[in-house]
Amino acid sequence: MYLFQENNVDFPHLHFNALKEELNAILLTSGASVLLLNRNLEVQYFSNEIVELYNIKPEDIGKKISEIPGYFSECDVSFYAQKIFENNVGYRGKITTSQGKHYTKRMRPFKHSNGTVSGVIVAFTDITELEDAQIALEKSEQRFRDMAELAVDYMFEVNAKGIVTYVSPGIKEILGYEPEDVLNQYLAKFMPEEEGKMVLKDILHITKTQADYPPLTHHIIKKDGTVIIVESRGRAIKDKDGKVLGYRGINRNITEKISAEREQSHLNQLLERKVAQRTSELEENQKQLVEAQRIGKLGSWIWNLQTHYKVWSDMMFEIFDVDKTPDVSFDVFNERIHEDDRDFMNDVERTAIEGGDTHYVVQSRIRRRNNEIRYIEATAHIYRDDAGKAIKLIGTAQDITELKQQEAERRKLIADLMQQNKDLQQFSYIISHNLRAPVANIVGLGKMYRAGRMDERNEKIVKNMQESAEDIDSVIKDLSNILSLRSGIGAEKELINIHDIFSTVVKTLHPQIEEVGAKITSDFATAPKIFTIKSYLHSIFYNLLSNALKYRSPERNIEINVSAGKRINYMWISVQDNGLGIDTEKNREKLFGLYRRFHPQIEGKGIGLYLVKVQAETMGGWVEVESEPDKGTKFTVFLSLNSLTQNDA
Amino acid sequence: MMEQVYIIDDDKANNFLCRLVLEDAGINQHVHSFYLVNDALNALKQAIEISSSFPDLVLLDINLPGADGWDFLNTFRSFPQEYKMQSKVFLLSSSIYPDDQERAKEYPEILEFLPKPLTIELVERIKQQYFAAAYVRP
Repeated sequence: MYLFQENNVDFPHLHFNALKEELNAILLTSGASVLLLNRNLEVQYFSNEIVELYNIKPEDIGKKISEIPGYFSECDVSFYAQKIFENNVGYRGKITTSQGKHYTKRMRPFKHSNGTVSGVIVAFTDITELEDAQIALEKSEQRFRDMAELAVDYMFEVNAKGIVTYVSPGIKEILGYEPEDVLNQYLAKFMPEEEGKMVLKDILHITKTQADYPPLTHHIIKKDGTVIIVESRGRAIKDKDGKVLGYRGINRNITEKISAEREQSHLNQLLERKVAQRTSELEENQKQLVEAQRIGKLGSWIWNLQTHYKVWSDMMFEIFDVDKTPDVSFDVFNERIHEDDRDFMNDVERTAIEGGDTHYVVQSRIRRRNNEIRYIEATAHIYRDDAGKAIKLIGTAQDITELKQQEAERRKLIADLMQQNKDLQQFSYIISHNLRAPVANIVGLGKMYRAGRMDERNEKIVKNMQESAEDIDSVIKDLSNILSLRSGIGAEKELINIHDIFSTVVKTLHPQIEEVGAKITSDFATAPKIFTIKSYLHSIFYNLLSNALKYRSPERNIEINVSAGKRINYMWISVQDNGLGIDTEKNREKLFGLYRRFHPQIEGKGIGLYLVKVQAETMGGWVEVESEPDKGTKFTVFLSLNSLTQNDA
Repeated sequence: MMEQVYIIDDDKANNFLCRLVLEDAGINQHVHSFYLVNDALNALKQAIEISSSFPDLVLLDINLPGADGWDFLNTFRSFPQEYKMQSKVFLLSSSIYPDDQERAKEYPEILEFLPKPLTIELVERIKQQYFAAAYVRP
C-alpha cells in the first residue's frame, strides 16, 4: 500500500498526516482504484488497487501519467484531465482492460479550498460481474422468447383452479386459438370430456397435496375439431411459503412423433416377424442340411492353413468315427485313414496345395474303430491369397462305401454280362457250325442220291445221311444241356459232403479206373463240406476224372490226386494227374472251348472241360489249369463263397 | 490238271460226300482224305522227301481235333516254294464264325473260303476258274 507521500509540493496545504489514516481506511474498504494527478499530470497518489489498470510502482510517484503503461487502450486519461483543467467539469466513461475486465471510470477536478483546481482524481470501479450478468440476462431473455414462440410448443399458466391465466402466442400455430380465446377458460375445456375431468381432478389433487406436477401426455381438441396429442411438462408455481398457486408448463405437439413412433413400432414388428421367419427358415435349412448330410453320409469341413484350425460338421465325426471336438487334430484324422492310403492321400493333398490347384478330389479307405473299412470321397476347394498362397481349404467328405459296392457289383455285373454275351456269341457260332456241318452233309448227300436205285453208292449215301442226322441230334442234346446249365434251372444249392460226391463218381468210373489201374488219392480234410449244386459238383468231378483217365500217359502208371481247400473268399477243388499234359501256353484260350479237342488220337467230343467251366461260372467261380506236356495236368475249380452266401441270402 | 486231291477233315460223312462229288466230276484217281492235320502234313513232307509232287487241290476244314486248319497252313507256308506252288488250297468249312472269315484273308495261300457242302457245280467252277489252263497245256 502506497499512500500519500511526504513533502508533497503540489498540495502543501493538505494536512497530510491528519488525512492520511482516514483516507487509507476509506480507500481500503471501498476497494476503489484511485489515482491523484497534479496540474502537470504527474502522479501524486495511487491506491493499491490501481495495479490492475496500470503497471505502476511506488517510485513512479511524480512521473507523468502518460509515461506509465496502462492495461487498457480506449481512454486517454491525459487528454480528459487536460479538458477537466480547462472546463472545470467532471468526466465519466467505461473501459475494458486487456484482461477482459470492465470498469467505470470517473474523473473529477480536485479543488482547492479557495476554489482553484489543483489536480484530478481518477477513480475506477470494477463492474465486470455486473456486465456479465447483464449479458447473460439478455441471452436468457432471447432464449425464452424463442422458446415461447416456437411452433411446436406453447407455454401456459393455470391457477390452482385449473383456469388458464397465461398462454403464449404459439398456441395459435398449434391449436388455431388466439391466446384470448383460451385465457380465463378451464384448461379441461380443450380436452376430450373424460380426459378433461381427469386432468382437472389431478390439478385439484396436486394443489391440495402441494405436490409437483408430473409430465403427462394428453389429447387437446383444436379449434377446427381435430384432436392432437401433447406432451405437457412444467412446474408448480409456488408462493414463498411453498403453497401451490398454479401450474406453468409447456405443451408440445407430439402427434406426429407418436404416429412416427407407431409407424416405427409397426415397422419394428414387421422386421421382427421377418427376422423370426427368416430365422426359422434358416433353422429349417440348417436342419435340412444336417439331415441331407446324414442321409447323404456327407460331412463338410474347413481347414484354415494359417491357424491350422480344422472345423468339422457333425457328420464328419460320424463318418470318421471320431469323438466330437471343436478343433480336429491332423493325427486323429490321419489315424483313421487306411494305412495303405495315407501316403497317397497326403500326397494328393500336398500336390494340390503346393501345385496351385483350385480343388482336388480324392478317394480313400478309412478304418473305423471297430476295424470296419469304409470308402470316402473327399472334395476340397483351395482358397488362395493374392500371392497364390493357399490359406484355406473348404471341402466335403462322403461315405461312398455303398456306392463303391454298388459300383463294384455293377462293374462285375457288366463284366459278367459282357463275358456271357461273348460266350453266348461264341457258343452260338460253335453250335451253328456244329449244326451246319451235318446239315450241309445231308444237303450235299441228298444232291448225290440217285433216286430209284438201290446200289451200294445210294446205300452209303443214306448211311452217311443217318450219321449226320445223329450228329445233329447229339449237338441239339448238348445244346439243351448247356443251356439248362447256364440258366441254372432246377439247380438247388445244398450243403454237400464233398467226399460223398467224389465216391459216387469214382464208383461210376470204376470200370475205366480198373482198366487202366489208376491210383487215386483224395484229401478233403480242410474243406469237407461245401454249399453248392450237387449235380454240378458231380459233373465237375466226373469230367475232370474221366479226362485224367482218358489223357493218361502210355509211359507211366496213372496217378490222380484230388483235394479241396479254402481261401479267403473261395473254396477250391483240384484234380491233378501225371498224364499227357497240354501246352497251356498255346492252348489256354481253346482249352475250355466247346467242341475243342487236343488229343485227336483219343475219342472225345470236346465238351467235358467246357461243361466244367460253365458249371464253375454258374456257381460264381472259375477254373484254372496248370499243365506241362508229358508231365501232367492240374485243374483247379474255384467256387466263390461270397457269391454262394449272397445267392443264399 | 487235277490229278491228286487232299481232303483234310475229321467229318467222315463230309469226306465221303467229297469223294462222291469229285468222282462225279471225273476226279477219282488220287483222292486222299485225312482226319488229322498232322497226317496230311506228314504225307506232304514225305512227298518232298521222295521228290514226288504236292496235291493239285487241297480241301481244308478249320475245326479239327488237335492241330487245326490254321496250324496246317502255318506249316504249309514253310514248305519249299516249288512244292507249295503246285497246290491250290481251299477252305471247306461250315463255319459262319466271322473271325474265321477274317483270318482266312490273312492267308494268301487260301484261294477261296468254300461253304459246305461241296457240290458238283462248285467243283466244275473251280476246274474252270483255276485249272482251265492246265487243260490247254500240251
